[in-house]
Amino acid sequence: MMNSTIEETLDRFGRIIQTTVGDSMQPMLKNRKNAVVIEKPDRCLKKYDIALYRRPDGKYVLHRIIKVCKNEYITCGDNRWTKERVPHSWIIGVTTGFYSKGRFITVNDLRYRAYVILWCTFFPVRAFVLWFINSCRRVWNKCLRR
Amino acid sequence: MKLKNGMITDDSNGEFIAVATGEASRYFNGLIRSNSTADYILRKLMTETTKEELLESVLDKYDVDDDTASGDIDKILMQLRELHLLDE
Repeated sequence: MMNSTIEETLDRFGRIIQTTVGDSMQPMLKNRKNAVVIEKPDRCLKKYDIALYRRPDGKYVLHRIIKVCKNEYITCGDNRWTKERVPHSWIIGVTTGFYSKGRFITVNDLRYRAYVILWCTFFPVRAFVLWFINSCRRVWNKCLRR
Repeated sequence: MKLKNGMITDDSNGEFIAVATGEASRYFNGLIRSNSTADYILRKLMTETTKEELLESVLDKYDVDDDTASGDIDKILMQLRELHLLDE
């Protein structure tokens, strides 16, 4: 068995399939329930692309680009409300499709594009709703601890 | 015997890859690169089967003798057991 980093695998094969971990990209990608196909980008990434990047602390992150700037991208997880500034140099790959319930869905699939438009167009509303739910959860947990 | 639930195989790019999601991801957190024969066996293991049924399928599909096919299947099953991906 050979251990390779994601970057090494992408450099060698140009493509990788990875099980998703975490809840930051729900409802589209659920913790350990989906696998994403990530390819080495051969172009500048676009708004709504799902980028794989590595933070300086070594953590890999798979989040959606919501704005393209000159030297950086602004990203946010589908299940998050805080944005992140990601320099172009952090980008490792871009998602070209994912497996959901055994079926492969490309990022060009009409249903996926409809999801992106609906989910991302209403970002301010979604961000507020997620923040509100999270705040209520934190208050509830504090009350339970008392 | 069969693979644990959640294994996904992919050969859309000319390579044969398998990753674990769902239940299987509790035991394996990597990526399996295989050749076409191993990929064929992995796909057969997606549903309940026996070693004899696997052997029969491989002999039907590939021009190979019994001993070679049996040895290859044993090797793959052993590796899957080591990765705790087999339900027996």
